[in-house]
Amino acid sequence: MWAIFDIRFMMPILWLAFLCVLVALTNPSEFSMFLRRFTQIGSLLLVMSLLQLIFRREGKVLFAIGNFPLVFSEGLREAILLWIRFMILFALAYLFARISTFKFLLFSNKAGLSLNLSLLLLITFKLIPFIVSEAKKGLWFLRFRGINISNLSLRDKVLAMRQLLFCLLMRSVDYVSYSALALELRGYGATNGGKIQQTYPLRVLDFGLMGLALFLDILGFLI
Amino acid sequence: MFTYLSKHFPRSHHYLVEERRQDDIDNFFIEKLFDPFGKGSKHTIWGEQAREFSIIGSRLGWVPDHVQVVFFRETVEHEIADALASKQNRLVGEENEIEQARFLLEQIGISDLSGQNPYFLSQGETKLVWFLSQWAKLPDYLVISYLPAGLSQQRINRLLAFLLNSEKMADFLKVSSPTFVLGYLDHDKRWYENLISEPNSKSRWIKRNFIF
Repeated sequence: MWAIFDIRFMMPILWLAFLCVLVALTNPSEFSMFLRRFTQIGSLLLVMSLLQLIFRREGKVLFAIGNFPLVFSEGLREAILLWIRFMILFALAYLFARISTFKFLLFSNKAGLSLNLSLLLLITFKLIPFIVSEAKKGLWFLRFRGINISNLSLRDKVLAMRQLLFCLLMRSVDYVSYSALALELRGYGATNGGKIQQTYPLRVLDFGLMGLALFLDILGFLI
Repeated sequence: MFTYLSKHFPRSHHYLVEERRQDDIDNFFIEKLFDPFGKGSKHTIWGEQAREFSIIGSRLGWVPDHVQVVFFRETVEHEIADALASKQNRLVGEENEIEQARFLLEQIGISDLSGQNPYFLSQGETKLVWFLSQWAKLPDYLVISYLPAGLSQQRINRLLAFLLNSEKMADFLKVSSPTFVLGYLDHDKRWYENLISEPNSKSRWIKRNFIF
C-alpha cells in the first residue's frame, strides 16, 4: 500500500485538484461536461499509463501469478504519476480552450511576455480546438464518401487514420498561414514593434490564483 | 431521406431546383446533413440513423459552395481513384481505378491537374475535382448547390457537357449514372437553358420550385 500512498503523489494531486476547482469556479455550468470529458479521456489515458507496469520492473513485487511477478511498486508508482500528469495537461488545455483569445493576449502582455512569444503561445493554444473541429469534419467527409469505418480491416483503419492526419496537416498549414497573414495585416511584428494599448486589470481572483499557484510551487520544492 | 428524394425527384429524370438565394440548398444540407453529425451516433440525420451515415454518403453526392471540402490524398488522380474505390468500401483505389480517374479528369478538361495536390488548387479547380470525386462514388443522387459559382464560362460549358454525357460515361464504367439535382437562380439563364433544350440527352431535365 505504501506505493499508492507515497508522498510524491501529493503535489501532482494537489495541482490536479487545484485545476479542477478552477474549472468548477470559472465554468460552473459546464462542470458536468468537464467531468464527462475527464472520465472519457482519463479512462483512455489510464490504459496508456498502465503500460508502465510492463516496462518498470523495479521495487517490491505487489502482485504475482504463481512465481511470475506482474506488478512492481515502481511500475505502479510511475503509472499513477504519469496518469496524473496527463490529466493535469488535459485540465490545463480545457482551461486554455475557454479563455478568450484577446484576454489571454492582454494577460501575457501584462505578465511581461514579448508580443511574439504571446502570439506564438496563443496560436498554438487556438490550434487545438481548430484541430478537433477539423478532425470531426474529416471524419464526416470520410463517411460521406461512403466508407463504413467499422467494417474496415485493422490495416485499413490505420490507413484511414493516416488519411485523416493528412487532411489535418494540410488544413493546419492553411490555418497557420492565414493567421500569420492576418497578424501581419494588423501590423503585428512590424519593425518598431506592435503595442497593445489596452491593459488587463488584475482582479482579486487573479492575485488569489497566482498566490495559490506560487504556494503550491514552493510546497513542491520543500517536499 | 431517400423516400423523400425519390418521391420528389424520381430517378428517371434530372432536376433544376429554383433557389431564392444562391445558398438555399447549401443551408438546407448543412442543417440536415452536416450539423447533426456532430451530435453523435445516437441522433438521426435527415430521418436516417446517424450511425448509418456512410450509407447516406454512398447514395448521395453533394457539391457545396459554402462548405470547405476535405481531400484525403496527395494527388488529384488518387483522390478520384479512391472515390471510385469507395463503392466497394475500399479506401485506396487500384491501378484500374487510377486509369478511370485519368479518363474522367480528361472528360472534364482538367487532366493537367492529375498530379497536383488537391489542396493547392484554385476555387474553380477545387470545385471540379470535388464534383468528380462525388460523381465517382456513383451515388443515386448528386446535388450541386449552384453550378456556375466559382467557374469560368469555359469550365461551366465543360461541366454541362459532362452532365449531359454522364450516362455515356457511366456506361463506359459499367455503372448507372446518378440523378442530378441542380440549384439555379431564375435570373441567371445563361447556363441552365442549354440543359433543358438539349435534345441529345437520354434523360429529360425538369424544372422544380425549391422544395427541400
